[in-house]
Amino acid sequence: MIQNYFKIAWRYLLKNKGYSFINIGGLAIGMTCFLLIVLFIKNELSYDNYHEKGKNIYRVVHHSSENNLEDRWVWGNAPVGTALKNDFPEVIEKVQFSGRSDVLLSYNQRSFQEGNCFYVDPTVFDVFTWPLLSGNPKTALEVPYSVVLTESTAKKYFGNEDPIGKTLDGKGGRARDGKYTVTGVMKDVYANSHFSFDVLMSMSSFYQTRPNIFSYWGYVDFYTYFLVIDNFNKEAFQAKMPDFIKRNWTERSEDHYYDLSFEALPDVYLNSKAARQPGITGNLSNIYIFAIIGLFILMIASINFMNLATARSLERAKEVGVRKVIGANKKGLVYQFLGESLIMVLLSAILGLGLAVLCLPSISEITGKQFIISEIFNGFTLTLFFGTALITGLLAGTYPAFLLSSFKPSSVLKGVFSTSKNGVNLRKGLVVFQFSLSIALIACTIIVYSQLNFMVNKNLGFDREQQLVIDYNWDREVLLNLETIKNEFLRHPDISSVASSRTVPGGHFPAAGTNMETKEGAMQIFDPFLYEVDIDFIPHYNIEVVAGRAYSRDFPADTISSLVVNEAAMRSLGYTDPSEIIGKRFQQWGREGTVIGVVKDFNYVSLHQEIAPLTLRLEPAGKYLSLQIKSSNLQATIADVQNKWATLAPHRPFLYSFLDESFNTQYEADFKFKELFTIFSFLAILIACLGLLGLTTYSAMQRTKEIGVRKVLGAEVKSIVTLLSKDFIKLVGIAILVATPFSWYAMSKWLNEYAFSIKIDWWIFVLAGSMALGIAILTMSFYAIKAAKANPVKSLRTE
Amino acid sequence: MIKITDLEKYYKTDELQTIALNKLSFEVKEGEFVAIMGPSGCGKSTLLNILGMLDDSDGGSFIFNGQEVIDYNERKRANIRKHNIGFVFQSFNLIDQLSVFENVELPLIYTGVKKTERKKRVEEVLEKMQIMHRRKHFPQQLSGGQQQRVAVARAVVNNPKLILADEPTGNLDSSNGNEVMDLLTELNSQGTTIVMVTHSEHDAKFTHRIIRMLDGQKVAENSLV
Repeated sequence: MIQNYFKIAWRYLLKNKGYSFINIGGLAIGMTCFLLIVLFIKNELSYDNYHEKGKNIYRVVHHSSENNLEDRWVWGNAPVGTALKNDFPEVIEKVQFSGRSDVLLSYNQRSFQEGNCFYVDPTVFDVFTWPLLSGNPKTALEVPYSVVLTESTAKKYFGNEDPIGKTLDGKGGRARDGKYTVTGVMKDVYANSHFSFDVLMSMSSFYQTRPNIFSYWGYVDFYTYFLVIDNFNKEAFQAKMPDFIKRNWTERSEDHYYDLSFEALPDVYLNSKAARQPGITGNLSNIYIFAIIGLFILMIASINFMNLATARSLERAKEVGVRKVIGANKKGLVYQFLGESLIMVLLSAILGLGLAVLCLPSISEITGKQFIISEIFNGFTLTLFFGTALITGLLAGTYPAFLLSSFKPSSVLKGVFSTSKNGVNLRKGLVVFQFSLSIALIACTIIVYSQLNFMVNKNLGFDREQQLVIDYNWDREVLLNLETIKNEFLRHPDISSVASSRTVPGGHFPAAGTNMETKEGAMQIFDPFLYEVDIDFIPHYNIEVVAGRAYSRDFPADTISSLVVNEAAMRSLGYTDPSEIIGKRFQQWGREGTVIGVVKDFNYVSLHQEIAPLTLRLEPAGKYLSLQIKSSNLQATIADVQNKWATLAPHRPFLYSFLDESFNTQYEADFKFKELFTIFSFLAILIACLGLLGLTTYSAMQRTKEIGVRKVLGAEVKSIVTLLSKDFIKLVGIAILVATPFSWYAMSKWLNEYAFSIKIDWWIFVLAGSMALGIAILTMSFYAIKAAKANPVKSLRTE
Repeated sequence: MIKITDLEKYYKTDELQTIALNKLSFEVKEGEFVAIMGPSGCGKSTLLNILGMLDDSDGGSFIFNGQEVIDYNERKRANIRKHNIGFVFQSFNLIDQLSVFENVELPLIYTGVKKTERKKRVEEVLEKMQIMHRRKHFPQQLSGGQQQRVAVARAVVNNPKLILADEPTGNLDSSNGNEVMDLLTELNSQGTTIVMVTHSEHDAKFTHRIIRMLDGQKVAENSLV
């Protein structure tokens, strides 16, 4: 019997190639998307789960204000680590990392600036599962100036030589320049880690250079992780913090808010709300978004399946009648049609699996994740995949199976067959649902595009075009000759301005505990961010001064007693008029003096974030040189700058970037999101259109006789195309109404994640609706025109 | 074999009710060949559907092989049908996706006959109907006469006690029509009871008895033997 069912199903598929293509193709694409989305989500959920002690590892979050979430940082002071370990028996071990450092490492003639270095406690390999390939994990990072390299970094310097015991010349970073001995080589850090590194240096090197900051609670430069006992109670532990802080940070003033909270390692990648992360964090809402899209796509494909199966029930009616007459019962027929659905879904699933394998390299490239085939062909993924296929097959197949098997043979064999009103309404309802999803996806895609476009093109309040930024990383010799070097560059006809600074917009910067005079004359402590800049920085970047003045060579005292702030800093102290703060007193990092200028708020961080209070402090020693290039021939100018650099700082590699590009790297995750979103939306719409094509085709087929009669009576092609399309167009119209509020709500929530975002305009929905309508009309015209142009004599004869 | 008493059937739409069978009563004995005749719309096909247990009646009694079947549910009726009744239709009603052999084999599959036995029986009946050479063809590749022969083969492959034929020659030319009538006569002579709805006086002459209907009622009955 099953063989018979299979035979019929198979012959049916072969005979109705278009129908089979729409059904199997659509579902296969749906299943591919589903599988790829599963891989993506699985990868996102797998972060940091390779650490054997992961469940017992926690991370410290420092709060510098009570309610403001943006004032919760994972980057904080050093003494908290030792104090936690000393005070609480439940803390077994602590590991601290310094902030990320750039260090120029050299071995023989090989020299690279390593941008991914951390100074770390020797306990790191006790706590985290980062296996050493050589070296002793217990002692590798104990001694000052010892270094552990990842496998690929070691290869870069030493090739096939054994690196253990060899020394690397190190310049820059948190410790004084010196020679680092390689004491270990470790496996490269897994990609699914919340932060990654290429070089680990002993914390004692940093300590030796600046021992005092390790006991200073106000100095921020450390990430603190700790290992706890098995039955650790986070809430109870957290409740002990106010006393703990009071006990340990004795010199803290009353008005200086400080608290601690803790994040379990498995939560760090997706659930951390804290700022200043050591690596890129994931986004839980993106996971939800993709899970929903995956579900949408499967639903759209399943709806095609149901719609086509029910629309075509007419063709299967006779078979049902005959089978019933010769002895089939309803149950058997339900099994038969369900079986057919399952066969189709199984074929789609196999095809989808193949497609997913083919798409793996592209999806790896888009997401920046390394997906390998074994991730698809493992028990969990395959079970989930085929399980979903089975459920889809059952869901999509049940209604048609019951509908078909309930036909009365006495009617259908006589050709008396009326499509039930309920069936037609259900089909219409499903088309509306399907198109609502598609229109919502189109609208969302337009909004995602507009937002990213806005982010890339918004006037940020400083000049970011044609800014060549050279990273000299506090190189001592460069610093000694900084003015000469700047002047040398200025002699180039295509370089209009040069400035030096510790950071550039989009880059990393510290915060500084600062006292500043309020309107009332009292000194108030706050923690503004800090840009250390030279005299030329503000005019170089064309940052508007709204009150007072920028730094000037005409005022020699600027180097020791002046400060420029942004409008946000001014407002945070209660000023409304920028001119009011001019001349007010400040104390910051050992410097005292007066505020001499206020600059207009500029977006020095990504548009995800608000513009926070910022002080621009005059400090000639920096890390970057910014060169404003006038010429349109960039390549030639870069070559000139490189040649000049080779003569001015022959010992330093020429490391450069363009500011607009480096600034936009902050949006890398957004662009990846956009690409994935667009691809999946496009596929969803494609599948919906396939379904619509199928439905119009059958609707036209069913009306062949009517079309024939109308043509004989004088109808033109246009009126017949309208006849066939108008019902569907009405449905698409309803879908626009359904989709608009839904996508408006969803995208408003999405845009909330950006401090600076576009406004959702009404035209977006009109555009999305028109696009869907356009696509639908185009799809339907394909068959409608063919049907309308057919010879009526032929169509009447076939009836 | 069949005894119907006061059988009633109505068709209702939103606006009107049509009486298809109006207290119809008659009996068909085992081994009989009966023709049912009457103008279009007199209820012939409705009657045949009820006799074949494809449709419900709205009143009366229907005794089949000594059992009252009027209240049987779908499952029980399907069971009686597949073991006892064969159908022949005017429009053949073969399944397009199945070959001649597979179409004829289908009733045996539903009654659970084993594969080797099925092959034997299908081949026997195809030989008998003289379409063995066409067994691998699909219905669309056959002439109307050949299709009806396949349909008859399918109807008889399970050795049913009763064959219900609904204008079996309606779509055939006279020579093909005569062939089909000869086949039915032969089956009847071998003991199969046949009830045939027809418009054709010519075909009716092959039967033992003609029941004439009008407006859902029996108006005359002529014995031809």
